Amino acid sequence: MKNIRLLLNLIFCIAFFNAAISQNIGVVSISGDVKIKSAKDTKQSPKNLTYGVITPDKQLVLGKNSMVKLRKSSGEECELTAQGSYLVRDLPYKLPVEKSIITRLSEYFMNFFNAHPSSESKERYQNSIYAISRGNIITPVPVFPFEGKMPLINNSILFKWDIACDTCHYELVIKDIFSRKEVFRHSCDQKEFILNNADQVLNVGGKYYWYVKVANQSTISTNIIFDLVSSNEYESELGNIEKNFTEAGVALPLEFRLVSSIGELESKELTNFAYLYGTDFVSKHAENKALNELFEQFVYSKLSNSER
Amino acid sequence: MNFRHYIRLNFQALCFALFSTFILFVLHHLPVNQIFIDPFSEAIKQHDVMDIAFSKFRDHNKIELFDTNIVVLNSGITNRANLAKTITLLNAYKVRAMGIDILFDTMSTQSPKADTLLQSAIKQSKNLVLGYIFIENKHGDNKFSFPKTKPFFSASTKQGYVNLATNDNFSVRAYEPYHQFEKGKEPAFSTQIALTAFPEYESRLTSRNSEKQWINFRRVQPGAVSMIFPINSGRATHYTLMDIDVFLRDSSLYKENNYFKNKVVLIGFVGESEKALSMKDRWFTPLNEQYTGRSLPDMSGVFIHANILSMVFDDDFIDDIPEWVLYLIAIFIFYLNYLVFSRILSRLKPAGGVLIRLIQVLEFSVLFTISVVLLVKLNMKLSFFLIATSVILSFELFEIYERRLEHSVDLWISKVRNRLKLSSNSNENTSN
Repeated sequence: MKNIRLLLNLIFCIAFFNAAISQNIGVVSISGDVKIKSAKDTKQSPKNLTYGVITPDKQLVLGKNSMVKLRKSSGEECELTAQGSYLVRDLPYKLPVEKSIITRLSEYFMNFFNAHPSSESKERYQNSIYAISRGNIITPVPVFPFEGKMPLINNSILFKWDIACDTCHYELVIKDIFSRKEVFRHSCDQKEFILNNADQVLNVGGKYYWYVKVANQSTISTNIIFDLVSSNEYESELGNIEKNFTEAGVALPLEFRLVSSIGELESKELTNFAYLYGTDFVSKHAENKALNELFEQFVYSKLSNSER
Repeated sequence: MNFRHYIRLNFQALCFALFSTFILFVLHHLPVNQIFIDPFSEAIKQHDVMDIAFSKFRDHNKIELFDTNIVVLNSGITNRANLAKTITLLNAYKVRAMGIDILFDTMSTQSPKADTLLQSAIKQSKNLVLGYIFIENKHGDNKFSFPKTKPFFSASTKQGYVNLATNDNFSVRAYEPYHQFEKGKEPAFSTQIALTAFPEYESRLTSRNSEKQWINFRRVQPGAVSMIFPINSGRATHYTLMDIDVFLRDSSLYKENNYFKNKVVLIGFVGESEKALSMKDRWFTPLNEQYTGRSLPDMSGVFIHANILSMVFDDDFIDDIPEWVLYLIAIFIFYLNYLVFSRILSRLKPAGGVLIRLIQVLEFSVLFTISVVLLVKLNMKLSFFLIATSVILSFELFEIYERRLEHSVDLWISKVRNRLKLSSNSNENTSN
């Protein structure tokens, strides 16, 4: 009986001690790449840190230029800004310095007696304005191929993307949609790449997606899914269009031919066919600038739609 | 000092106080540009004692300032499909109320699918509030015009105007909880959100008689990019701020931790990304650490709405001290100054002017301290500049009064005294 009472007392003491020392820790501010993982289970992959309560046994992983602020229920705060891993329990929490209104008022009035140089004095000027633009790293935008069927013509495929960066290096990645396996990766400095001997990495009838990554950075373009089809399908579609023009029996203006052909292919959701046809048509009639403008409008509208 | 002199001095002081207050009243209400006659008030007319009190004398490090009720989602450069997804998710998380500080006044010709998704998401949210603008037209038949969200989105949704009150089109210090339109009173965006979240708070807003309310700014703009002078150099965090893309990315994690349950969520533009210090929809508030001269605007519109909501939720309104009380204080200051100035000048003729200026500086500091303490500690707004003007003009008005009016008042006093004497003598004679 005595032992049971002793045990109960011990449990009560432990519970009381735990309640006294443990406090809720909340995440009040997150900026950038901040992840959280269990400190015990090293195999567990880190998750994105979310707002709310976290336990002291967790480990925070801060990326470059990231910031996180934690606050205990007692009001003590800890702000982390340096890249690295931190155990929540071991962080240095501090109470924010509070100033009474009397201190603030006395500081304000004492400030009157500090030496204030004239606003017109040149000595007051400091070199603290950085008049230069750095710009943000933006993500590459896939231009071609678009989503949908993509014909394999001359066993090569052109990949094009756009980005406002003069010094970037890119990695073009093609993956199989079903197995998610990477079937092709290529590093380059240009904003386009022609994949020759495509049949060695891609199969006609296969479904793939491609994206572009800026090397050494985390910016990745959106994924574009395409179905690789044979060139016969493309030629047969073009044959049908040509046949329609021939049946009309009149010499139609080039602009009309381009717009109606692209429109017809578009209506069948064959955007890549339309792009290839348009590129070919415009290059054949390079002297006609209106054709080029019409084709650019088509590409622009497709790109702005895909961005949305 | 004999009793007669004492009475005379106090009577002169009272006359001076009334005369000076009348001059102050005329200057204050003069319906012309006062730059020639009142350069002081012209120079400071766009400033308010609130600007100094809130930015310099309020402690922004207090832990209780972190508002756990409100979360702000930065829409950044997003699209309607993402907004629709966000609204649907927030509904699923059982938020208390949602306010969208974004105007959908066009239909998307490029992506009608996204418009339909947004319409459906808005329709399903019973606790969602959309913002609109009202423009008061001074000319023409239609007194008001309303740039609003298209009825396609807002057909059965609560709406509130996002207009905030300003005296210079840049600084925000006040707002109107309700505005009287031709068809009746309509609530502000923040009022509508507050009533959606806590309908029982209606009396807090309607019981206050004044049309416009001062905003009791306590909470600074959060976000790593805003932690600079003059926005938030103290690196305080008073609201949860999250980018909409981050919210969508981590939505499954937020489902697990129930973080959004019963919260009030505001969606608005705070910057193109979390690293961008955008100046769009950004305004000057009394929390700006650079309260005079040129500065950066310190608060996004959505955080001004958040501050109003915090004020309503905490029942933390600012009360104005009525104008008649200010004039009573001015009378007291003039009265006291007459007694002090006349005593100083009668004893220290050459050095008196210098001492009087020092006393004026001291009075100015005391009044300033009283105004700040009243505002910061008791939420009472004393119109400091009117009272400060009474201190500043005291000596000049004293000199005018002394040279032009004091003698006339003395003559008038002696006339009255003689008349009283005569009447008392005649009364004595008739009784004898």
